[in-house]
Amino acid sequence: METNRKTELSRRDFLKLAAGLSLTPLVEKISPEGLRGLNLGGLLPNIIILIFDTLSAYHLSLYGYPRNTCPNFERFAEKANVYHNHHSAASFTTPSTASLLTSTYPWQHRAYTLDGSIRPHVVPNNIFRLLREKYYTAAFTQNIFADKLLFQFDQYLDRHQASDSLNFIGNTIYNNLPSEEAIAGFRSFDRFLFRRDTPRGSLLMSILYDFTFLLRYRLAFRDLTEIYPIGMPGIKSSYAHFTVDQVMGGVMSLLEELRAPFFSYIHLMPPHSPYRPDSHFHKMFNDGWEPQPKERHPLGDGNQTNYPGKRQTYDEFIANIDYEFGRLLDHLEKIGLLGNSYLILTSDHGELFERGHRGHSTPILFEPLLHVPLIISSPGQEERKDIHAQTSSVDLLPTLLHIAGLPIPGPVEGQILPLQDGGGNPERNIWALEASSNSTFGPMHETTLALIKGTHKLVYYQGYKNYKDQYELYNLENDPDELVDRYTSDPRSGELKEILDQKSKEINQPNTY
Amino acid sequence: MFYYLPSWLGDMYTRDILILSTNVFTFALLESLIILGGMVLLALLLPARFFKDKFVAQGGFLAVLVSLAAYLIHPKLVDALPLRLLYLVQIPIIALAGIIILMVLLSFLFDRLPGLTRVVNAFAKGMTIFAYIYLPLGLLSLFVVLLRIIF
Repeated sequence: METNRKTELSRRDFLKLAAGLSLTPLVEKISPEGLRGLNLGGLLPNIIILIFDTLSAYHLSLYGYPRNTCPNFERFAEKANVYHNHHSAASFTTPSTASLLTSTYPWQHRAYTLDGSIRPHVVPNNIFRLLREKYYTAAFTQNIFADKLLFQFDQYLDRHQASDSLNFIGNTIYNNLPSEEAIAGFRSFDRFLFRRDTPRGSLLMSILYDFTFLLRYRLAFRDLTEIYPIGMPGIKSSYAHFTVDQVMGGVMSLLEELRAPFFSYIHLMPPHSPYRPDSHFHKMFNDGWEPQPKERHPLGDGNQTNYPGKRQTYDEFIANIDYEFGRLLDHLEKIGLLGNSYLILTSDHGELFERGHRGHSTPILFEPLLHVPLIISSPGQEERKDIHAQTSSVDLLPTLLHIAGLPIPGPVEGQILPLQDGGGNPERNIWALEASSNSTFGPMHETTLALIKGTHKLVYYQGYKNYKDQYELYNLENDPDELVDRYTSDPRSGELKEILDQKSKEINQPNTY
Repeated sequence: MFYYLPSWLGDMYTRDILILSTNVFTFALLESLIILGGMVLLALLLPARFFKDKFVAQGGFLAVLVSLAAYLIHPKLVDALPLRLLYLVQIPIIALAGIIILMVLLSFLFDRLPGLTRVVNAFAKGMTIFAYIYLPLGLLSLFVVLLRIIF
């Protein structure tokens, strides 16, 4: 019996080991980190979500708007699924983006104020974490409120491009901080000490900050006055300004750099106000056209005299970004990305120019505000499909998980988008909530809750001083402009009220906050 | 801060509000020190009888005036955006010249009205109570911020 085992390495063993060492560079590739994003023989198509902030479907010629605002969207739609009744879950960026990224309605994620954050227990339910198993995940948004939400998902992002990286001028302060301090920095510096509107925290240094920005802006804008006759597009709550073509060029570069298969979330500011189309599009809709006037709503907060001019400039800004989208489309096709990617074009919410309100962030949830475009092209798709089922922004996450062959977690409130007209449940409940005046830590006292079911839309205004506990019902099929409130006359009133009242009670239970 | 506190309480957890507060108090401390440094520099540059001799009274008066002016200017700054570069460049020069002229005028005023000097000094002495709150708060916040950066 051998009692002394040979412990020394023989020359043969050493040579075997040395040969094995040459394989170590592959270890990084076959580790879990390396597998993510490794093109597994091109089996998985990429997914690109492209969001244009504040883009209302109501203002797109693709959806029947009289002005020819989007010939390139229409070109894209020729080989895509066009969803005609897609709705956002809220009336402004923070809650609507949170709903899109987590497939939960605002009463779940509780980010229904402008500076709100998604509840910690909902954060893991995000699109980046859930797709990360199979995709390289990347995100870029110009909207600083959406970017704050992205920082809540930062650990699930392989690439999180800075929100000011494509600006022509104007930087945020929080983007210069370590990512773990970004949210605190955003709140302290960009939203308090140096906020653009008043009152602001820093009395004296902020003036110096403003002044250096003014000087830089004046210097930079000298050469652009002819291109942007009414001013450079900018981001309302910050000092940032950008040129649309430069931003789109940056998006093209970003997409080229991503490792396939990738999932990218790209959220651009236009056509959010200030509406600043460039000279090619400025005054292109100087046609005097106006839609049918609508009565001011009791909760409308402004006068309506400047709406035609503002509406015209908004439409021209849409035409501007449509042109840039056309450039992006051509570029993606040229580099072969369009053929192996899902490209999803949508918006976080719309914009109102009626009923006594211009803009968004309003309790009056009419269709120009909630009805947003959704166009999805699949790899190799050659035919257009028009789908009229009622769908919601909360449906995107489960749909993408389905595409990726990944399980859909329980807390998800959306459904897989129908792929054919006539598909899906025609009587499913679609919701939208406006609750920005409420604390996220207690019951909601002042809200607008909208239920869209089939062809009907019931809206409940709860707790408003001048319009307390009122219901409005519209038939979206017969009355798409929501001119006639049929709450007292429509046979479906009772049924819809019961569903809405039940939901209203549910979302105000103590366990929800 | 008190203006935003209700919305912060509605939006943020207590921990987030405390972190925000430490950042804000640290910045406020640094801003105060910078402004104080600016006034000390001005006192050293100007002849002693125009500022240094009555530093507390004149400095306190200047601090109040400049703060009031800043508060009034803030909402108007956005209106300055369309101003031509030539006008924008002149603004800090005019502001600095204005402060120097103001110091000279104030020194004559305080010389002619010793009662004013006494009143301003007494007011400044009364305000020191806030320094006993503000300075430790600022220093503590600075300490917390440094800890967060290091760890």
